[in-house]
Amino acid sequence: MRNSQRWLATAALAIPLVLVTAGCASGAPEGDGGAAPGGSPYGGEVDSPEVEAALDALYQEALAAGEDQVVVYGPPPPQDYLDAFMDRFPGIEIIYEQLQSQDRVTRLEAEKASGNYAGDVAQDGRTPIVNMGLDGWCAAVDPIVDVPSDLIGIDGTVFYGQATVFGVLINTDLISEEEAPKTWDELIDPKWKGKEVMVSPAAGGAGAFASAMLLTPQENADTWGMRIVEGLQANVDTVAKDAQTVSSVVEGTYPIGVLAYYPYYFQTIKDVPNAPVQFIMLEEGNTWSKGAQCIIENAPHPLAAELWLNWTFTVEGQNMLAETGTYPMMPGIPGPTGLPPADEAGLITLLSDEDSITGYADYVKQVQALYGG
Amino acid sequence: MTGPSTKSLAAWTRPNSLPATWRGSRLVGKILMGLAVLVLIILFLYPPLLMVMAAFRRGQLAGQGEWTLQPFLDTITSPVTWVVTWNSIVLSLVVAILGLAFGTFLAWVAVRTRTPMRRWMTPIMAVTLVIPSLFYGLGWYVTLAPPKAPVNQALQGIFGLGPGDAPVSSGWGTLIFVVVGHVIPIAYLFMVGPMSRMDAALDDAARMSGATRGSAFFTVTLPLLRPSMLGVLALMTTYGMSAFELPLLFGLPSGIHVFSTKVLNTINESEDLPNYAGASTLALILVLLVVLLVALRERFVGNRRYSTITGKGFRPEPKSYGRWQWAFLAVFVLVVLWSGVIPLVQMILGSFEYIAGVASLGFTTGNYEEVLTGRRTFQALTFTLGIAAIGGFLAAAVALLLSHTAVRSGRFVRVVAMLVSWAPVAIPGVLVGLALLTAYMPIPGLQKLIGTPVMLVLGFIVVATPIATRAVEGGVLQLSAELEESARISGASRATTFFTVVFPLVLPSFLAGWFIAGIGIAGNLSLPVLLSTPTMRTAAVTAYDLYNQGRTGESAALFLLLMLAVAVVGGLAWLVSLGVIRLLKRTRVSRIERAMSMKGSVLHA
Repeated sequence: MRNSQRWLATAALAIPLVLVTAGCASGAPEGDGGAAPGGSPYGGEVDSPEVEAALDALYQEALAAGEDQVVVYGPPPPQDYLDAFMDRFPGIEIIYEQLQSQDRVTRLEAEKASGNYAGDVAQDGRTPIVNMGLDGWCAAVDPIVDVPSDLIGIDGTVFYGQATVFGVLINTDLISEEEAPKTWDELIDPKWKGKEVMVSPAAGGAGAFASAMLLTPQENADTWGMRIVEGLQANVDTVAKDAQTVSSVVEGTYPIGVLAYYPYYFQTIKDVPNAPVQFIMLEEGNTWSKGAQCIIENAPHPLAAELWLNWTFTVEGQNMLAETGTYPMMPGIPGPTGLPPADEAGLITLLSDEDSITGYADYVKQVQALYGG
Repeated sequence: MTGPSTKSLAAWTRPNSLPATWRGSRLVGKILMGLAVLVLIILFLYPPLLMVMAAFRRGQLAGQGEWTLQPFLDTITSPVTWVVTWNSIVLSLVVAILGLAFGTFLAWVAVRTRTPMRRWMTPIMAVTLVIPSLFYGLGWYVTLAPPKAPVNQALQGIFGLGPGDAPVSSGWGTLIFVVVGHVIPIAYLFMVGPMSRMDAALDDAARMSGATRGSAFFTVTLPLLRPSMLGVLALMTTYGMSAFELPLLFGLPSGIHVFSTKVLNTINESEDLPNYAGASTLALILVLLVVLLVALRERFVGNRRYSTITGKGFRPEPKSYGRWQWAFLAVFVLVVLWSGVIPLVQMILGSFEYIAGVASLGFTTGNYEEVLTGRRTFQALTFTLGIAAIGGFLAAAVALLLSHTAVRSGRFVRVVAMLVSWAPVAIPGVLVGLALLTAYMPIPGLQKLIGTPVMLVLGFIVVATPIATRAVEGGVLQLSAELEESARISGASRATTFFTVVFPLVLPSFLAGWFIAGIGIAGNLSLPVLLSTPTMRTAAVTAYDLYNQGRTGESAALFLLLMLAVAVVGGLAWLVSLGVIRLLKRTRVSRIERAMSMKGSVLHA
């Protein structure tokens, strides 16, 4: 190669490479690598000896029937939670498929039409599961564990075992806990304009539904209502994904994250205990999602599914929920680390289970429209 | 009165109810063709037709329930619908035109010039194509959008702005920049096959007639590529309409809403009954757009001939463009940075970060440990590679048969082939799994296949065939009929002619179609969830689930492992195909030599 050609080749390669080097330079690490996440020790009793014996008998029955898996249609929980069950009952694998809402119903219709049944359990927020219960997709179960009646709905088919909360996330390098807003009114204070980040409600999802909770039922509308929803819209910068709210605050791009999803914060702190973030619950009106599950009619692994459903309500199952960042609903079980018990958490009033099926839709549309959706 | 003459009696034959073309083996052929057309209509045309019908029905499933006009009227009278449609059309057209311009130019650089590194351009573009749109978007997001992003920090320094200022963030400019970068490799790979089969003699003729190199490119090369370019342009326009992740990341925060995000919103806006009718009304807009684009393509391409591969004297050699070639190389490197390297570097960094995109917290190998010790990671990777290879091959094979049949058959078959190769594109990307499942559910034979790998492969063939067809059809159109006619005159059967003449000549396009379709299948999120069972999960679906659980680092790690696996398997396949091509060449040469020597011996006898 001649000298002039070498020079030209070098220039052709070097100019773009300078650009990429500059692009990557500011992403260089500054921390010490962070500490390894602390594992949550597994162990302890599942529940009372009677319950344990009954569960063990059910387990043996499931194995004898050749049921070695439970297929759950819904958003998967943390792996530690699933591992706790699979460690306890190693012959049964829990497999999650992220099928939600209409996709799940369509899939179940297809299974019904083809006779190739695959789904055992449906799990999600309460509204779609209650809807499934009302439409006859769920089988009635008489639980082994003593589940309070208020945690069972739709003729013994739907079970409410857990809840997740949304709150305020602050970057402790940028603001202190004392300075942080602790009420909805403080969150819409103009002094925080441009300093708050929130997932955009325009595309629906948690941002839209959590905002809609401020608008209905009437008592919420009277206390917070459109005043807060519009105030937030004026104050926040939006991102597209829930996970970006957490990462934006951790990185320090914004000091405050609104409607931060607690399980994401929990995962962050588990991975990086020294991350400069703190999750704060508001004094009142914390938005939350009540989780529900049901065993699907014609489930191919009914015994294994029943074992799984029961285990989620045992002391072990409920404690594991708390250890993995989700609120357990059984009485007497403490909340996730760092959060008050459910009855002291200032959770916002929700519409009743059946009213929620249609009751939020118009408010969700109003919120989406406000954000241009 | 005279009776019939002997001559006329001899000519008399018993009247037959069927004309000659409907008898014997021809009748069997027509029945088989009819069955094939029926199967194609059910598999390819029924799902989009069902989505059209669904605009006027309200029920738990798409296309079922009571007939009603209300959701249709509600949707088309909503001003938001038209804002979204306008946004989507602007995005689609701008992206398609820019993407195709860059892709065509680089394909020309790779095969028609002697630019340094030109042999590496296609493999590099192929690797770039494998980057999933989610991580491509997240990579550019952390590079461009937040105030602390490197680009914004640089601009803050240059223009003396405050640390909270973000001159580049979300919005039209960023959105178009990012989406164009993502589609250039697709356009390149679609165009490189047809470009490589252009005869250099055509350029030479233009030059000898006084044209400059530039004008020869614009007046000879580009017009001959019109069938390929228009097909790819139409396909890429629909890509823009189906884009989901990138508009979500870069459009939504600035209030820019597009078609795909609106479709998803519309379905889920009510919890009691899915609004398929509203979503399908939006889908009608996509149907109209596809029909318009295909009609325009047909009008431009028409019945003109675009064959550039002829027999004698076919020379596809590249030419030297002197110092300009270094500028070409610089453009290529910039595009690779834009389309691949920068997002890929961010993705690799993210896979080693505790929280992807937050380098300040340090680095870890924990994400890879979690993924590699996952119960089903290996199974998901091998399943993905297997189904992508099989589904991609079958889609490319269907595409080749459709394209070839369309070119060499009558008008009816041509129209059916064209409809089949375009119809699935008219279903919005976010609805495609749902449309296929709902359409096949009532059909007895297909119904039993739901939840089996066969149904999954079938679904992938339907979804990937339009993509593979765009890669293959240009190559088929460039084949001169004289080549096949010569083989037939020499006594070769139709099948022999197809496999010994047509297939070797369209092999580069076929391989491109296979690869692009395979990549599309490996990254598809909609079909595996709805058409298969949970134990048949692909790596892409698993990685997307991880992302949705907030485990972005693990998700990036799994996607990178998938990319590595695709690169290794693709590289091996490439080497094997090179070996096969060499072997075929050697066999052909030895056959010709043998024939020549036999001919010689006859002459000497």
